[in-house]
Amino acid sequence: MELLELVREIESAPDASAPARIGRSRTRLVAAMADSEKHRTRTRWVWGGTAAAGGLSAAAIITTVVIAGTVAPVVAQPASAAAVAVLSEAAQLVITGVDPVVGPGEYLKIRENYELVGLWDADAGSDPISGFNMAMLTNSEGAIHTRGIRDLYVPSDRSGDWILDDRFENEVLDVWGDPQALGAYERMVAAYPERDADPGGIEALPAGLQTWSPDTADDDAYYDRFRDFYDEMPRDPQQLLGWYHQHLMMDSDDWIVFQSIGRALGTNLMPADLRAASLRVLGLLSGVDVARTNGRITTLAMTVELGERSEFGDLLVSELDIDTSTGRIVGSRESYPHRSTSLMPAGVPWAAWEIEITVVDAAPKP
Amino acid sequence: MSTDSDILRRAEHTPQVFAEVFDRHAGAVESFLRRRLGADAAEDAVSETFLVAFRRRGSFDHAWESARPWLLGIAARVAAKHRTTEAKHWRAVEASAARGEYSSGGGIEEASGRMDAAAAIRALAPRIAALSAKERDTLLLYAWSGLPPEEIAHALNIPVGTVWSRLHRIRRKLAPPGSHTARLTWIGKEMDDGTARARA
Repeated sequence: MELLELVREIESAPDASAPARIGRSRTRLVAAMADSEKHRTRTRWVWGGTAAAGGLSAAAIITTVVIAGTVAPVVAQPASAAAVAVLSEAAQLVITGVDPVVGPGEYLKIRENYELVGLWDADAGSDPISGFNMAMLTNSEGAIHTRGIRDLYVPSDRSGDWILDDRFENEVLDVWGDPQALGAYERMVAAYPERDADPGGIEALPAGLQTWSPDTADDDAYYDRFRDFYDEMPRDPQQLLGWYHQHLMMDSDDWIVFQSIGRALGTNLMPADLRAASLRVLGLLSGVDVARTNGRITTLAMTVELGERSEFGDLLVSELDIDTSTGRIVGSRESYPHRSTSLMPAGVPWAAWEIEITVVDAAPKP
Repeated sequence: MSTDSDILRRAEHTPQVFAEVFDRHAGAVESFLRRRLGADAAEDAVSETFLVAFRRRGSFDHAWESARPWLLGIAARVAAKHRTTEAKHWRAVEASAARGEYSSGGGIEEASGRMDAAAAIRALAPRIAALSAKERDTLLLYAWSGLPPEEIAHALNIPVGTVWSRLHRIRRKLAPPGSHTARLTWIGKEMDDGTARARA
């Protein structure tokens, strides 16, 4: 008998219990996949990200990944001279300006006011969350537009506990399409309070580290996601752009760099020189232009043509609001102006954030 | 019919479809892990393998249509974390062969053949257990999972030339004393049979 045959014979007898084991493993996998959706939601929350918030994140999650996964953005023209000028002045202000002073025992309070659109698929399933988790533009009967608040308290000593307060109840601003979407939304947040007003939604993050479960330790991350790399991140804008590309694992999808920098700078937690360099990186990205100016707020928009039409249309517009008196990013928005839906009025952003930063004496206790 | 690559692309934005990948390959992964770790440990190892794959689905190399080598590579790494369990299992294989408790998967029909095989496996099991983990990965992906060297290289993230050199080394290590030329040409025979023609 040949040696390889012998190796093949080892433990080769059929095992009648294998299907049962495989079935149990499948059940675990499916449960983990469902959990990952929740984690993804909360993770996006953390970064104030594209998908997130309140329970209305599913559609936005799908939006994000559809574009990341299957649709190739087409490179547009370089950042406009006007946008570069705004960014250069903002970078200069960041260097010469003074950040809020957080005295001993005080906290930097970062408040996110957000608005999100969530789709509802009436036929998605019996679980209260399924109609919102499975909905896509093509199969949705309704949409819910909500507004919410989330606060982060960063202690003066950042090695202490950061407090994330996510207990605020979302306000429903609009219900579009089937009015039953509102009842479905209310049932969903009753069953899954973490998707809206979670009574337990206040947590301490040791030194800003957010964890979800011992089983998903790989997903643990600092709230200020680039913190571990502040020292190594280049201060030269061109090199820093390369670093972002490498770190975000995106060679060409500069809209991800645009949004990621916007979120990171929104919290104002990076060292000032790195914030300034990151602002200058935005000026190196294709398709960035000044969209409008309203008083001291100038809005930059990055328009990306989607190389392949999808239900979200052919354009993704990401916006950042810059306070030209401080150089700070104080708002962001994400829109799909040509999305294929009659459910909601044109022009409503898919997701929007406004960020307020103040210094306070104390933080709520978890 | 969608390829695994197609499904994994879809799973990046619709995670639920990853279950299709599980359904296609769970049997192969379970078999690999059960034979390596024993039935008791296999269930957790299968779960862990697919959970890791699910989390890393975005890193799948879409140059490959089939996810099987990728999944088996993850399974091999999961198995490597259970060295103690695996060592015990190989001892159990040896012991059951010594007791004559050898059940063939169908390749050996006659009782005398089964007895010979049991004796041979009793001698072989400790030598397989004594291989390095990398060598064992290579051997078992080749012999049990039927992956050609190119796919083993993909699974283990090593050059295909390394697969060949490992197979050559394994052949020498597993050779019963005194039988080098006559009995240990199996890898060469496999290649001659066309099982693995694409030698690097």
